Amino acid sequence: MKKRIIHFFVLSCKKASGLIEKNLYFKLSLPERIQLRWHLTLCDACSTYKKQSGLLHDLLSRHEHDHTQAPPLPEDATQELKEKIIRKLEH
Amino acid sequence: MKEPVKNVRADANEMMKSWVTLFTHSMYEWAYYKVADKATAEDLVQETFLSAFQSLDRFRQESQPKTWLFSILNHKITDHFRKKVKSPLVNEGGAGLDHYFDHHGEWGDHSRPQQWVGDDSHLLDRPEFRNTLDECMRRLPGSWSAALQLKYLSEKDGKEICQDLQISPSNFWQMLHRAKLQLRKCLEVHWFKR
Ligand SMILES: [Zn+2]
Repeated sequence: MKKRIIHFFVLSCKKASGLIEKNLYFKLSLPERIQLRWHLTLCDACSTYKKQSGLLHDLLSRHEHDHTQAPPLPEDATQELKEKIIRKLEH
Repeated sequence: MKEPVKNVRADANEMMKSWVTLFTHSMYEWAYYKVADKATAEDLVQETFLSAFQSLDRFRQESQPKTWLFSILNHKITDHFRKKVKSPLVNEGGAGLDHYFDHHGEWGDHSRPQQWVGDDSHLLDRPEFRNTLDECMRRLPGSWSAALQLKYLSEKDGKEICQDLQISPSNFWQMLHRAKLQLRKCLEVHWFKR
């Protein structure tokens, strides 16, 4: 019984880090939330992971959207494409 | 009565042509940066203009044409990523969880997360950081980076993405878990611990 209680509360880091990711995209169940909270109070490594994973989440959200960041290409690279599209639109 | 209708169509045509002239280049740059393939990027830009032309009545005059076109283009790009996540050809490579955790499920000695110095949200102001982030994304297996881009480029939540992909939520977040572990490690080595 005691072992079962410990297993319930103390997740492995592998599972805990998985729940940290899951939490970014889906809702955790109540047991999952309790387990993760307990694990994080006991585990520095996963607390660090959570912080960094959250930072990456925030950076990716902003970076992946920012179309001013595309590396510039030579202006004549798209001349043919422009003409092709205009021809298509005329039909 | 026929004459004004014709004029409206002609006006729409002229407007589309001016948009093609003005925005094709920046749209192509963005599409190419995202999909890293010339032919695919050209197709996506072309399809964007054709869709825009067909749904021109949904364009509201008060919004910016560039913003509107880019939102259509982003839909096309996420469609492309959706296909890529599902493609079996790109599902190879990438480290499994055993690479980071020992058989008890504890962090391995080489992968235990260390504190990062300067891990603030102003990192994106630095072009070198953005380059490192792009480079680390490129090193991920194709389907993993496609899943990440699908998540972060589309405004959809996890549940909707899984419905689109017809995969289970656990498949999806487990894929993102592995992708994030690898991305985190790559940034740690190439940026935070340089
Ligand atoms: Zn842990």
